Amino acid sequence: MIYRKFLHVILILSILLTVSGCKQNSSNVPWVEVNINLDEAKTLQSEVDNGHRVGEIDPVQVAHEFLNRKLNIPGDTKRKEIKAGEGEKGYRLTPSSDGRMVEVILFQPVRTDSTGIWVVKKYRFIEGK
Amino acid sequence: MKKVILVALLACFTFSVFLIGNTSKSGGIVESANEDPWEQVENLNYLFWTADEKIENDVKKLQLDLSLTGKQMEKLKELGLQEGYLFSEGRRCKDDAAKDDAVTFNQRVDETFANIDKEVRVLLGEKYNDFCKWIKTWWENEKMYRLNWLAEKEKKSKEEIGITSTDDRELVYATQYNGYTNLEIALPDKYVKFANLGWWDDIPDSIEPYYSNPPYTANVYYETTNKSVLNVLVREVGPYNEDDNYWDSATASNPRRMFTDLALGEPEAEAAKLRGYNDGKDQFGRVVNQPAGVDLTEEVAAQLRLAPQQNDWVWVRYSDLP
Repeated sequence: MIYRKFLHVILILSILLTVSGCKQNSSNVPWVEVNINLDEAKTLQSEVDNGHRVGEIDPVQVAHEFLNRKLNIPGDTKRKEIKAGEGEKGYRLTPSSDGRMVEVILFQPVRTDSTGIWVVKKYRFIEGK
Repeated sequence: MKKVILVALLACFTFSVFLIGNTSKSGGIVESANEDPWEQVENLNYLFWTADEKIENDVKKLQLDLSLTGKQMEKLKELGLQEGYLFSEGRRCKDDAAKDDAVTFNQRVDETFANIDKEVRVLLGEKYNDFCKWIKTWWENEKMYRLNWLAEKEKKSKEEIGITSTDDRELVYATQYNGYTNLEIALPDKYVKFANLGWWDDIPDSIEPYYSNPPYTANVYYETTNKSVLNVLVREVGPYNEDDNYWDSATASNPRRMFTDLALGEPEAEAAKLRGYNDGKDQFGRVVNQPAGVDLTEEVAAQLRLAPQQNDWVWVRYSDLP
């Protein structure tokens, strides 16, 4: 009798562990590092300093562009700021087009002030595909 | 006694030398790398890279007036191009964030121009002082001429009937940029870009209704070559500003968001460069070096018959914009 109860408890615990294990823990999802070409970044900074590509000094626009152009996820996206390191910006972006959720971390490769361009340093999908 | 007099004379002499040194610095050509000998930038980019007929004649006049060689003119033109691509170097330093960013930025711009100035000085040798004077005078005249020219053009166009009415088009200075796509333009209103890309979540609710009918495009017409590019998508923000929807008046249904005291159709960057508006700076406090109202990709510029890097005044029709 005790042996059967013990088996049930083990079974329930196994089911619970399996279910919780399947649920994705975002902190465990590895980041995908983005290759940054510093020379290209400097050239872009130069263009921005001369009045062009103003969107590059806005981390929000850069994050959206990254989604649009690099990850091919166009359209409207809900945005939530997430914790990032010093001098960095982090966003969780939830595109309305599908169920995917992407986190991006940005930094300023050339100048760390309000006139410096932002680039995506790393990203990860934390839900869906 | 003689010794005392000698010491006094030496002291007087040293003091005089010190005074003369200081006077020559303030009255003559500035030696410091942080000061601008022309009080503003050299405007070599504007002088050598604007396709305008009057400015092209100005370049010829410069060569004649100062008897500059072809090589010197080529080098000045090259420096004009560099003027547009030298600002990027900067320290990555934590303390920078605490400083006034725009002030730091403008100091870097000054340093850049001081470096170009050094090259001009070496290039022109004894003609350098005359060159400075020439540029100063030319720029003062150009600003006056250009403002009158713009007013005349607008007036003339308004008098014309039908499709050339200026109600929805403006004559603005066009620069070139590397776009996201080949065929696109940039205008200084970030919400036009957001709407075109469907970034609705980042357009404030109060503004969104005015931007609800994308895609937003504009027509660009270059009078000199009689070439047009129609329905070009606005894909990026700039030049310089991002809240300067200058094609809207302050009292329009979608009112101009910033610089509402400027005339309808006058881009802030144009006013900053030609009239010193906003201390010659953009909405971020950065020095404005071109009076630009629209940025064209190289492909759009090519279709208008503008060479790569070449800028000029073009008509932009804004009837499709919010």
